[in-house]
Amino acid sequence: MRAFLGKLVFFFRRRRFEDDLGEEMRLHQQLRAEQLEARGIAEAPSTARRRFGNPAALRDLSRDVWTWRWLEDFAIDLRFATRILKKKLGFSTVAAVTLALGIGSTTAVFSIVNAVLLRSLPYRDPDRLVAIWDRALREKGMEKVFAPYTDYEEWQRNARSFEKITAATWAFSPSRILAGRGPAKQLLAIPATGSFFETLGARAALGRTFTPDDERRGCAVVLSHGWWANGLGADAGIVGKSLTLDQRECTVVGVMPANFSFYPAATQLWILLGPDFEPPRGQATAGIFARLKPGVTRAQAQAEIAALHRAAHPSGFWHDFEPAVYDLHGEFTFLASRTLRITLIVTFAAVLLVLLIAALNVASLLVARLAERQRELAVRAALGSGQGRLVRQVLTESLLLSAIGAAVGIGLAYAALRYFRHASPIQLTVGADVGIHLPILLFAIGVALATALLFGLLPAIKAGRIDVIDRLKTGGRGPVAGALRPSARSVLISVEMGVSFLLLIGAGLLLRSALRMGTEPLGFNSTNLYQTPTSLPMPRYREPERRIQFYKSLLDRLNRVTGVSGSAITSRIPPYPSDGGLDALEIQERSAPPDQHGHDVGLNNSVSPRFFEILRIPLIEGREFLMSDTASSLPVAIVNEALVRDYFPNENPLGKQVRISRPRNQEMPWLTIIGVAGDLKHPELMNEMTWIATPVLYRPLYQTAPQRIEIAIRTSSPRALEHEVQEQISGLDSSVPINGVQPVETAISEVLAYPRFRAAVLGFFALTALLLSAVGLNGVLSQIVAQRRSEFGIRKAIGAQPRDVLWLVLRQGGAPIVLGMSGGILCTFAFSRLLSSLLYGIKPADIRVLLSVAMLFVAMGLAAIALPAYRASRIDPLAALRDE
Amino acid sequence: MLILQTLVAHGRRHGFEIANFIEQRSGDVLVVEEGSLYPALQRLLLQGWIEGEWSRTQDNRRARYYRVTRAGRKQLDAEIERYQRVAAAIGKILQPA
Repeated sequence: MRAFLGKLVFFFRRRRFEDDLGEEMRLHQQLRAEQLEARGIAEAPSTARRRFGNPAALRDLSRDVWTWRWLEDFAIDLRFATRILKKKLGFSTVAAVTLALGIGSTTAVFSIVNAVLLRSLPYRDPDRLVAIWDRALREKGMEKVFAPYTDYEEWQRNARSFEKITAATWAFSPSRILAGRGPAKQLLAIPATGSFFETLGARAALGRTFTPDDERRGCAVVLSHGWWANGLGADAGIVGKSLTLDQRECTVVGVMPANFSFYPAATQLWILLGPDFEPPRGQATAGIFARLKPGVTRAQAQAEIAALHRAAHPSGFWHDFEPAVYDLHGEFTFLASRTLRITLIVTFAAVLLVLLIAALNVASLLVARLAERQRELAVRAALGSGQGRLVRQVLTESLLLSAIGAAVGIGLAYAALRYFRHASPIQLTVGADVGIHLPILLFAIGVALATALLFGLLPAIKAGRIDVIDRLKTGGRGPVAGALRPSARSVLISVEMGVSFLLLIGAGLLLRSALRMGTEPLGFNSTNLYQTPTSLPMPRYREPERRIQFYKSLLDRLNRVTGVSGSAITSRIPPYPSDGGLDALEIQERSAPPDQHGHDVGLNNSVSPRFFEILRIPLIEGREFLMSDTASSLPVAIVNEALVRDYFPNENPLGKQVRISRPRNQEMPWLTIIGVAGDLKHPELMNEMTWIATPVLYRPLYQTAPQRIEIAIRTSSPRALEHEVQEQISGLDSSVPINGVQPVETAISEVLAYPRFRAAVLGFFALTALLLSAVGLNGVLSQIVAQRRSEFGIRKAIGAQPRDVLWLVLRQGGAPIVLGMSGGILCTFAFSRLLSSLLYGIKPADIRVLLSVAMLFVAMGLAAIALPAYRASRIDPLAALRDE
Repeated sequence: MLILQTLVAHGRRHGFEIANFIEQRSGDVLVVEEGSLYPALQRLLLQGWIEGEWSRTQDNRRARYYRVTRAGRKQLDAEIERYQRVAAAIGKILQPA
């Protein structure tokens, strides 16, 4: 401490220090000389000087005691480095841009990785929060389904592992119709138990959250901040007021803060999973969420509730399932997308490779620069710069470059993340906050330092080992000695080439997957097809006849809208996901459903007449549903080809009678099959990289009369469509909610969002990598050509043709390309294993991708070689030799 | 340590005197450049173990005289103690068992 202050004070009286010290030393030598002279020694003054030592060096040493030597050196190095970088502006710009690209993309990707995978959820003690799903013991594709609501009640009473437990569900189309505030609206209202907010440890911003007592007391709701602000005009006095939901009066008890969210992110309000919940709680299924008691592990909780589950379901439908306890964070990632985690891992791996290439590239540029600066370094070494000092000087240059790269890179990352948030190409985990925060900044700085060491250390060490005498003798020209030989750079370039090739292969595979997924025929025609969902409010539409009447009138009205060539009503418009399904098909006069089929008819779709015609789904056999297929006529069904393949492999299905056996629902009448429709392709809930054709059973809308529907409209004039459709619905009944009208193509794009995002991002990184390596290769070759100028001159003088010289350079540049490609192909096998879950319709070793990537790669490589090779072949032997 | 000891033993001294004393005391054992005294003095000054002050010699020449401070004395005592402990320890090891 005292020393620190002393050093600070010293800073202000440096001048005086020098004078005092000088005087002291002079006096010392003078006294010594007098003493020696008194003893009669000849040449006393020079002996005194010899005995004293080198006053300049001693003065330096004395001063060093009072200063932070390293800091001063650093300041000097920094000034020098700035000068050097300014002098070689072209080199500096290329290096800084390369680093900015590398550091910037790494930072941007890391920000997303951090927000999604690393940061804990914004709840109290999030590490103890778990999600509990059921998993089928025998069937595939049903690893994660909602558990029966009764399990929640059972565990709430009897499980010891949890501090708090709650259930929330987004099955049963969780929407409520809001009336009384402008036109009727459909709201995303998530039913949850009274313990929901308490389990998460979340408090309300206004009013309060649910309490367990609320379940017994009428209808209470908690609003999300977003809907309160945008849908209700941020009414500060909303707490205690009443909202009309599904024609019931519900009291607002609280508003959540802006930073609170839960799955699904679009939730507008939470309602109670109370006694009057529909379907009755005995039949409902829900996600169960719990807070573990401190010290209880997931495995212990799992064992306990699995035992409870077995005891509660000795037989029956749920007997084939068991509950599984997962960490809530991981499940939120899973809910956002099955492939979110792996997408981020692959992207991060890719961006790290790009960073590696950037660092190698700058390292190779720096080595080349050092080769040119050997004379300068040798002179400095000769003048007494220590080895460590030279290393530090070169490292300072690297740090400066890296700092510039980091600054620009952080700017790039900021812009990229802004765009990402704005365009939101993929859905992220609930509450994931993507941006440049302090931890991200620290990460960027860390990356910059690490890269500076990576690309700076190699050249720095080489600078330290410089052979002074040798360098000065050749005047810094001639063949480059020792470790600075271009072969070191060739190795670097080969590695770069290999990594780029690897990235290109990955990008190629993902691109081809996205293209194949995007061009897969889905079994219907989505051009000019639009959709809008709605649902009929209860209790006004409790009678099926009223619902049917409404649907008939609505279709009549819609068909008269100009431009509309047809409209249909269905419970789901494709491409809806196949959820594996809990239902099994029973066939009249056949014993219980064969086991191998299990519960795989999940897709029970009610459709209006003309549905197949309007969606252009081919009808293979039989007839469409007609207006005459009503509640009073024969119950009928149309099945798709997949169902015929599975259940009637060698029979004519027409006229057969089937029904869906349900564990929990009322009996379904036997349905007579009257037609066979073509297959549709569905995305799968558990595996997003598929289009599958599952068995589907279509029933006539006028026999089932569902309450929630989707309207499909084919039109040639979509411009005023939304307005027209909303007008027609409100015109029929203003209590029926209206929603936005969306092209069906948009829904398809949503399915393709992830594959497309991955292909785009990896493609961008791969091309960046390729470009960087090409620049690197070009740099190395240009340097080689410059250094071997006289050699090429001699070759030409003794009769080599330009073609021969061209060939020489080509061989030199071709080696890294070939090496890199072979290395890349070897690594591809490991890398594409990582990708295999992200591919569609191709194998990791797809020969077409491999070939096209190799062609692109070679073309880029040749472009990088061309200019230096051309320059080499043009060397004028006379001029080259004159210079020597 | 030698400088501190010299100053404790002889009181206020300037650089050349210190060098002379040390030379006499150690004979030819410590052969170093005399000038290296000065960086060493700076270290002691920085730590606050000695103080310097400009004054006149007997033949009226300007010289900087150094003096041990209280902290310097403490430091010297500590160093001597440590040295003795080390010496004792070495002595024990060297004693035949």
